[in-house]
Amino acid sequence: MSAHCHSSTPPAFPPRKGNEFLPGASHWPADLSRREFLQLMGASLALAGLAGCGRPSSEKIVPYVRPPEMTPSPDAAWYATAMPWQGYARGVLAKSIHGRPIKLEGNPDHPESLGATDAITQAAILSLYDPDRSPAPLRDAQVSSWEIFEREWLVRHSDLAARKGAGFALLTEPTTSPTLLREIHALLDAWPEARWFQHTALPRYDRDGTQDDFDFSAPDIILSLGADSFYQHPAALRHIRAFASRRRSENNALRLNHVFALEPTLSLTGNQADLRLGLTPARIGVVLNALSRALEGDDLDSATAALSEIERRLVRECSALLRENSRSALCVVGPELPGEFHAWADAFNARFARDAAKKKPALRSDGDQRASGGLGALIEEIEAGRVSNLCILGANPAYTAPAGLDVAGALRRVAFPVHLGEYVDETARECAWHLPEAHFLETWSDLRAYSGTATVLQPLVEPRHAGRSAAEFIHTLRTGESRSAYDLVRETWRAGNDSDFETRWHGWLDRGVIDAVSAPRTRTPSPTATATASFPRFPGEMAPRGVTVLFRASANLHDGRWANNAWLQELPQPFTALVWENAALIDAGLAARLSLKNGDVISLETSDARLEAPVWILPGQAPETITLPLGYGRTHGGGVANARGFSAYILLGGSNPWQRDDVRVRRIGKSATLVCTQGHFTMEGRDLARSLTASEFAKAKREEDPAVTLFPAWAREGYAWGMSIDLGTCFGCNACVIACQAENNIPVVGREQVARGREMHWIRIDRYFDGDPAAPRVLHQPIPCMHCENAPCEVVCPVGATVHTSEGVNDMVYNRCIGTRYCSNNCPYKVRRFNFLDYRAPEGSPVYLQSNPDVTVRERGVMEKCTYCTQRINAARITAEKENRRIRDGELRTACQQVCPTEAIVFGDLNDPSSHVTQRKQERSSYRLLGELNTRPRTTYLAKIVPDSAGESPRAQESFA
Amino acid sequence: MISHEPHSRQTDVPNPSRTGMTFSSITADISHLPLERPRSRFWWTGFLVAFAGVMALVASIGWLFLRGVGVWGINMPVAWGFAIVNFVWWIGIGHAGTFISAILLLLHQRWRTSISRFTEAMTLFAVACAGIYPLLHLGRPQFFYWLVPYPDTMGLWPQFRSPLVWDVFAVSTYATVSLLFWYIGLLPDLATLRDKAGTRLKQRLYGLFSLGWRGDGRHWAHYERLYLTLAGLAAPLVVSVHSIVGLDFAVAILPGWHSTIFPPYFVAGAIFSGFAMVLTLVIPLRRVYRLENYITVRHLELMAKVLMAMGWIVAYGYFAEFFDAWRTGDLYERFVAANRATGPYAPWFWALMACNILAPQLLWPRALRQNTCVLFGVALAVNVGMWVERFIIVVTSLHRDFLPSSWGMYHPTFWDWTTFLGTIGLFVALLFLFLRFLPAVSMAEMRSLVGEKETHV
Amino acid sequence: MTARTQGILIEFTEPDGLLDAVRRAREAGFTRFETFAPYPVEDLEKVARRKPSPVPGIMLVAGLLGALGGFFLQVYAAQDYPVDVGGRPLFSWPAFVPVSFELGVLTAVLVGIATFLVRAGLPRYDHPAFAVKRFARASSDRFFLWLRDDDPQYSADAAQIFLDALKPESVTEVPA
Repeated sequence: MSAHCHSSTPPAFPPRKGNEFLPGASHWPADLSRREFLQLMGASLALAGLAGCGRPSSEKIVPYVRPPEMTPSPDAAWYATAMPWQGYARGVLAKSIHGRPIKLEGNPDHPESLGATDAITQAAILSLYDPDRSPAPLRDAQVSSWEIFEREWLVRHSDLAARKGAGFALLTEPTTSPTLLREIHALLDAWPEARWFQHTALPRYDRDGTQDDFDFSAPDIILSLGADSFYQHPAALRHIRAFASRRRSENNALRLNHVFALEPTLSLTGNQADLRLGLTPARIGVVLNALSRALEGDDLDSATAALSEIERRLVRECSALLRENSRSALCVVGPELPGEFHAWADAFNARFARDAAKKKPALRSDGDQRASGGLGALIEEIEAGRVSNLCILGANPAYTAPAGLDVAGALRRVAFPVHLGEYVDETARECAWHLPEAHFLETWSDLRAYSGTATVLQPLVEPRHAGRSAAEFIHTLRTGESRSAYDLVRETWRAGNDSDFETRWHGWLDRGVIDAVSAPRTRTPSPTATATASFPRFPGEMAPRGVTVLFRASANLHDGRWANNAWLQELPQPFTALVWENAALIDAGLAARLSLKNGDVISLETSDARLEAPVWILPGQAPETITLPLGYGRTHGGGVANARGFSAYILLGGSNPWQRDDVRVRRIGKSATLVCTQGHFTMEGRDLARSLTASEFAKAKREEDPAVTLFPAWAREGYAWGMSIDLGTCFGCNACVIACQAENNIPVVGREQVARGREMHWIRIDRYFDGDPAAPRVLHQPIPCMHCENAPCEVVCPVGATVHTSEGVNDMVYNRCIGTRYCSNNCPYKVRRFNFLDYRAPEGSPVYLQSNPDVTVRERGVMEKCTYCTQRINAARITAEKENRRIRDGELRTACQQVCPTEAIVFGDLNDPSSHVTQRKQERSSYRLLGELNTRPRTTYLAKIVPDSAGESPRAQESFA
Repeated sequence: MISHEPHSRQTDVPNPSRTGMTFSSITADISHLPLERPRSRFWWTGFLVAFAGVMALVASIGWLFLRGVGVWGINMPVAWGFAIVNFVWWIGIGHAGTFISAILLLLHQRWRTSISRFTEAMTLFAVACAGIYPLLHLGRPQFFYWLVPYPDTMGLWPQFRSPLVWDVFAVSTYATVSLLFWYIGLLPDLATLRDKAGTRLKQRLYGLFSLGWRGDGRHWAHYERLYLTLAGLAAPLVVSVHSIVGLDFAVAILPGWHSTIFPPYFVAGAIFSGFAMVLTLVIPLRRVYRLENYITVRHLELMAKVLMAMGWIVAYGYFAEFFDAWRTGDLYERFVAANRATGPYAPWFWALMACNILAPQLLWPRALRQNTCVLFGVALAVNVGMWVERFIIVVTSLHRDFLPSSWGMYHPTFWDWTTFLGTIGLFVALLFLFLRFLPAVSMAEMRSLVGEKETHV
Repeated sequence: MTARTQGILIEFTEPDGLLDAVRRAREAGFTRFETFAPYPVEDLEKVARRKPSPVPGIMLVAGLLGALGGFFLQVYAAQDYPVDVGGRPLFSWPAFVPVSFELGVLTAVLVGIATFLVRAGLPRYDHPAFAVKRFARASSDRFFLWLRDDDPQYSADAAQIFLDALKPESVTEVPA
């Protein structure tokens, strides 16, 4: 693996300075074990020093005073703030114990969180304590200081001021931070000659100054064209929450919507479709042409003449539904698809969407006239010799730029390149100055949600290193002196001299949202199509030009900025379950043609770049296509990130950068071992992840509790904890997996250990390919401990280390466990995890700063597993008993439940007939996994319910074996 | 099962007139091995090789305790690997000794006399090897004593519903009883050695362990009753031990384990492998130490017949598993059965069939039964086959159980192998020491045979 | 015959010789004699008119007590720290059978061997017979009868009369 990983990364430019970067950062073992990883963590920590850690911020921060349904934790304080996500705010509540932030939860008051988060947000807390984060300002790779930088800058500053900023260029990422924008504009005002460029590594859902705002609960029909509205979209959490409300039965009543998807590669959104076709973009156009004609009243048969059977079925069903004029429909398009698709979608939505889809002016500031373009434009400026001072904020062009753009070369032509970032990354290495940027939990800032709502970001701790915020930095650039982020942010929001600012400020910090302050719009939306407009046509599919290579953001690392996060590296990727690396996702037919099996290495060549990548065969991939996930193959991303997988950025380019037809693909005979946590993706005809059609559901009877037993059942007075998981709304986003890991101090074990089958996640998401091989779907099934009433694990434990509590929870007594592992052998759900080696972090490792003090850190040779978050149960019980009452339903939530964007997981007291979980278990779709074993699990499932039409497809699982 | 040996009396006893065997010749032949200890290149090379194995075992255990059980190939879902496979294998081998000396004694199979002592020793050493594994395979071996019931400050007790606790009691009882049974049997011979010993040291040592045995009439009276009763207890014990080992698996709900056939099928398998091991050891031994007069071809042939009989019972066990899978129609049972025969471990499965079912069929013709080379080969094959059988039972049941999502594979590591070979080394080393210092055949019992001949002539 | 003796040790080459001697000894009314043989000679004890060994009976009782004790130990353990294990009742008696059996066997064996040692008077490292050089063969190919001088019937003459009827290999006085 490692061998070709290296060869697949862009040729390393000779570093302009010596190699005195972070110890280990540049020479890291390709496959570092958990232990090595942590030892290095310890080492770099010693260099960085724990000074800043855990020290509460000096300015006044305001705790979140009304924790709504927030599991009480005696000595925990909560603060409302937000995490930057594609330049937008994602509202979070940060849990801080003894001054250490240890967990992020969604902020229920925040429109783009609604109390939920995704996997990346959950993992962000680990990055706060990442010892690879830039420890200090570096001048020519030598440790320096902000003071020296400021002195050096003053010289250039006066010079720039004299030249009205001529020769000064600024490169940022798109942002909605009012304070940062205010600073940038102020700088551009002061220096009219200065230039401002913006670079974004990935395509964005807000395009050319406008953004779509969708309500996924309204439409009865949803047509997704390669969109990932539920995962990659800035408003994904709001979208999926609304969507889920139409996919579950409430009191056995349904209001199912119909979802169709046409997409070249499996996305978490497309996989929610009742009928999903994996097609090349060109072919999608052909199908849409047929659909357009059908909708414009043409005869269906002639309209669909050119289509395959399954395509025809989609057009037939979709057009039939759409013609029922009572229905509202919605079409969403992925940003990777070219403009004509968006035009088609605008026409479609104009007709059918009613108010489910609105176009709004973009909040994003690259719609801002004052920005002078992207990375390409900047490099032209540099080539033209018009840039002497360049400041790069956050962006990492040296890694994300296509091979066509020689960023390093360009930077070498700049006299004074400065980099502000959290890591000494690929770009930092090419700059004269690297300055550490503060983590979002370390500094004051502000951001807007996709919907426009603003949030003030509060620091929970002082910067661990000499980090500063982007706004502070820009201010220093402009004025030559430094001003605290706190003052800058307050200045932004103090509208004139209002008397009760302090009260309002306090309120904003408290709730984590600034409502009543409308977002400034930068540009009027482009006119959208009218309801009568006819659909634009696509060019008919031309002769196949060979393999289409598609580029997509990786689900776990996004554009690669999370590559040094061990939690995300070890998180099984949504459809492949691959960990610690990426693979070229290839369509089965193409793989057969090139006689490739999983792990075989192919070479992809363009005119100016070559890449070697191992392949992974993915059902549902469009014929003759290969998808390359971006974000891996970092060269200087940190000890965890480096040399994991390959970087596909170097292949970007061409008219539509996200899809190329001019890539030469061939197998080179090499083969690599890919590590994944699930090796078998079919249900073998077993009744595991159930799905019912609406009419099957209508006929279904609720499973009765099996009474077959020789033993008298144990009485369950008081609480009886149980869980219900809705397979209809779980869409496999993995948020629960990381939430559990963060909550329960679950260790990372490293690539080799996962390869040996020793991953430690307490809740895993099983994936099964199912349905018509021509249009497969993936069923996601979260598997925590089932907490069986007749727990097979307990009976075989020789020392009683796993037993039932009076509340019916199957507990692990770590102190008593001697590690026979019989419990795991006898667990039909295989939810138990064993410390085969010492997976704990070494003494003094910074990861302990994130550890949850309410949860034991398990030692070597001990079994562990899901506890239903017993620490949360106890915390809730303590609070309830203090107030002399029972625990209220909903007051107590497990980590996985709290984070779930679709509320698929419900936990509560089964003895309380009114509790949500008891209600859920009354649904007719409720069933026990492997119920025939009479283990009588406390965790049960709700079968996925799909419209009848979706049920037509024959079950043909064998074809995925 | 031995009843197909009606007229053993005439044929099985070493015939004095033929072998010229007398009380004194017996003493001389047998006691000179431990007393004179003739220089033997065979012994030294054999012992040193075995001792190297012991060193490998020590190293493996050291590394294991240093790093944890993760040095082995075990994982989720295959949380049990070589440790349990080897444990069951050794325990199985450990059954032949008690079977031969106890059950055959009760069945008046006199031919057992010449091999009982040796097989008891073998049993003892096999159980010693087996006993190591359950300790080693613990995640936290330092707390093994939590398996023993004792009043502790927390008021905690072992969880007696767990077959693993049954195991602890079964194996420790079995080890104790085998040791005492063997030692009691040794008493008269130790006395003989004491009286024949040339040097003071030997006299003192053998004298010490012979407890002052003098062949007193009362000694013999109590001794005989005790020995018989011990045999009477050892017989059900030996059955119970491997039944319980079988229950270790049968109690689980895992397809491929959860089966009522397991206890008897495990017992048969144990005796099967035990006899195979006896043959594997005895055939070269009688040649090297010229014990052909004591361990005759007749003995070998009788053991060969037991081997075949047990082989068929084991074969029935295999059949029953597949039959059950088919009869119950249980989805998971059927899958496990199919997966064993055609899955990734199919080669192991078919190797098992060849070794345990086909190989013993070679022994149908008397000529082949009496051909020591063939017999040795078959015995060896069965040893391998029974090890593979345990591997199949443990691994193939675990690696693909109920949820396909958690299916996995098991790959033994370097340390798995060294630990296994290490215990083989330990076993052989102990056997060599036994041959060096103790009489390999019970002189007292041989005398009884000769004595009877003379008194009943 | 001037030195103090503890009686005479009569040696035979064949078990029948010993049997014959014992029969005669009994007829002569001797009670306190000891026999030595390199293997358990059939009928010897019958001829010597000695009670059969009580070892098996004692082992049976011990075994039953052991098994019972083991069973109650398990029942007590389950009640002493009552906890729901896999929904099984505290009194899961079928699961307690194997351990009870094993403990029964163990106790029976240990007690049996203890009884044997006590009854056989072992270990005993000194014995008058050891003083006789020829006695070394008692453990390999000779059969001995020891007429003890503390036998009420015993006297030099009585011994002599008794000996005359026999054809022993040798006769030795057992030194005090």
